[in-house]
Amino acid sequence: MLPFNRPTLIVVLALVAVIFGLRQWGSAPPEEIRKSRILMDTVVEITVFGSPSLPLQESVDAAFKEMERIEALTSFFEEKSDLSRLRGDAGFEVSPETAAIITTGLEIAAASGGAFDMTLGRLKNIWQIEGDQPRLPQPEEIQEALSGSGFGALVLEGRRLVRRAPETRIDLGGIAKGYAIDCAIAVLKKAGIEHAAVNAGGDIRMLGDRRGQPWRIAIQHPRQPNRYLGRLLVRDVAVVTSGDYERFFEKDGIRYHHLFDPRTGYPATASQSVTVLADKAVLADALATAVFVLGPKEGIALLDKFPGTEGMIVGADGTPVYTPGFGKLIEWHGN
Amino acid sequence: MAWKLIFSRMTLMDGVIIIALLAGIVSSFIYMGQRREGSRVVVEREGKILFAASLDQEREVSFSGPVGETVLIVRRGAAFIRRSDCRDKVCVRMGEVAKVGDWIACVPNRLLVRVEGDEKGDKREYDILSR
Repeated sequence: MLPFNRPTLIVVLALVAVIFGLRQWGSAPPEEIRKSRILMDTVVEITVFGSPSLPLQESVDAAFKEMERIEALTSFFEEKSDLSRLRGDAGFEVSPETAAIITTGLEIAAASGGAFDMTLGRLKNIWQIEGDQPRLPQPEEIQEALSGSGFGALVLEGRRLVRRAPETRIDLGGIAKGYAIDCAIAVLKKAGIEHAAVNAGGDIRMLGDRRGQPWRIAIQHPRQPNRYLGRLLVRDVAVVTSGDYERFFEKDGIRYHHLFDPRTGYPATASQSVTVLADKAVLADALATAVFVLGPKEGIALLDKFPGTEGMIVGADGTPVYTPGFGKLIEWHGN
Repeated sequence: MAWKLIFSRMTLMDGVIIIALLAGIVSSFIYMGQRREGSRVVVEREGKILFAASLDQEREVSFSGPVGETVLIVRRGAAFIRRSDCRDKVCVRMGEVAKVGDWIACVPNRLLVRVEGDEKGDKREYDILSR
């Protein structure tokens, strides 16, 4: 009697071959979900990777919903938002979310000597750069619009927000988007997702890596729309870029853009673009605006005050200046 | 002998099938054992990326850590630690890394140097544009 017959031998070998085949090709790749929506005046794209057993679709939808909620709380134009209530009252209690945004904003405002300013609502309104009909206001209009703005114009006592002057109008445009991105990431994390990116018009926060690889984040060239300056290879970090090329108009050869210098009431002229890396998008967002206003030298000094942040400033002459840590993360394009 | 009996009963087709299956298994082993050349080196500390660069770009980068400096060299498609202030110099002795998945660790200075490759068929230069 033989220990095995011919078909048995073939079946055993075939089984072994199948097992190897399954090991090599059979591991199910993680599913990728990518969805986009228009929110906060920009296109928001959420990408998640994860096991098909995770509620990927539902989590992405919940993350968008969370961003919508933050937008509703922080928009000046939403009827029931915290800020629209501030139109009438000198002071009142704001939501924990608005309080968190304003706390970070006030911290950056103090550290930057007022270069970051959440009280430029009236100034932005007369320039209308983000509206349909941008215009160059008269100098006296600008001076008038600056009254009631500046560091100290807004005070947060616990959750009670107080304006020092009745004409102060809050604008959280330079910070609320970052906060909303952080909230979306928190929703995804809570759902068990470990690999994701939330990209709100180029302001990005990543959760984990991209399926075992770092995320490759290209930095827009500030003067050549179809080029990028370089590529960051990063994970678990927020990357925010602010530039004078995003929203602007030109008159008599001068570019007027949306990032204002609170000291003059005119668009800041020290930088072409700024990229900031930080743990949270809210911090990166506010710092990018402040650093843009301050320019290369003072901007790098501001980043030094916030451990864990890195950044690059493309100065008015087009020269990039960056922190040592940023230099280690970027692959320059064309090199 | 049992084996003699088996071989005497085998037809030509039996032989073809068995050789084909064995060839499949052996080539699977070979394929799984192969590792692709890496395209970039990534340096991490406690899960945070400190440095990333193409393996094609010649670089010399110094990293400060709890025990001093560790100097990484990237040259001709490979990376290695040239010098480190750590006691045992295990990282220096680990030599060059060049293939996907290769790594060098300097435990005292808490540095992990990894080689990574691009995904197959991924022709994009980046994932997201920050603007």
